[in-house]
Amino acid sequence: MIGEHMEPKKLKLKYDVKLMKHGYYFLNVVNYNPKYLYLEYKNMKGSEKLLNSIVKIWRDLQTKNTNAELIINGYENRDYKHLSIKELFILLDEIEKTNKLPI
Amino acid sequence: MEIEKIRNKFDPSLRLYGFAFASVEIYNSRYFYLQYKNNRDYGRFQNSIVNIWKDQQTGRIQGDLIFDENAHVETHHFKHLSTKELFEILKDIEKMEIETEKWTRENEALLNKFGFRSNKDFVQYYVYDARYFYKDFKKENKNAVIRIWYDNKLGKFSADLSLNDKKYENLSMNKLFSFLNEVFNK
Repeated sequence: MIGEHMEPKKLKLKYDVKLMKHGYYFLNVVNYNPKYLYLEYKNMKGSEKLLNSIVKIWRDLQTKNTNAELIINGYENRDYKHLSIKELFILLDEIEKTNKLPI
Repeated sequence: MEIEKIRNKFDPSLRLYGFAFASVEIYNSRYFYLQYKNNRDYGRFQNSIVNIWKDQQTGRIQGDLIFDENAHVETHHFKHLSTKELFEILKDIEKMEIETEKWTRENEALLNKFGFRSNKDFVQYYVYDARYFYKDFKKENKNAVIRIWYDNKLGKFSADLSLNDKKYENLSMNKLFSFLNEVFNK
């Protein structure tokens, strides 16, 4: 697909540093479907609730919309799907601040 | 109502592959997910999950197939499928499983006789559908590997043989075994 090779780099450049501030490190690029691109990040040194959680930044290569998922792996399994990028960072801030997972 | 309609539509066809309705989740007040868990105690779908999800804004329904990551099955997850694509992939994976089991019964012992062994199951070649599956057999103490390919669309097995840095590709099973006879049963 056109742009397939450039898109991950562009997305990484945009989000690596922002996510690193919350303890997320880039894991890999996943292609579940040629029309969508997923970047996976794992939390390796964040707050208690976020530790080991996964953030997926995904891009619809046709509409160019970028969305995010937060998957909490731990004693409280929970996931937040279809977040806008803005919503993702608000959510991460909130969890870090309150140490609670919003419903 | 909406959820019941979707369940009525998908429950029976998913049940054929061993998926039973488990729960509903709503994300971002816009997307709702019907999660189906596989309740088979065998095969590649065991413990896997199908999500049928609807974007209430666009009305679009999509499907995900998520394999059990603890099952050590090297199979790629599928996301953002249309429901048509989802059922094609379920059908293809089930077909692959039946065909590769048949192949294993008929051929694996023969390959073992030539000293080629494998301790893995067939795995999906990394493409975006469930078309190609392969399994590698190695010959101990020899620089020889056989990769058996199954092409789901053609319903056909073929083999690539790498022997002492030479490659022989796309061999039919007959050709493979006559070649092995020639080389190793001299």
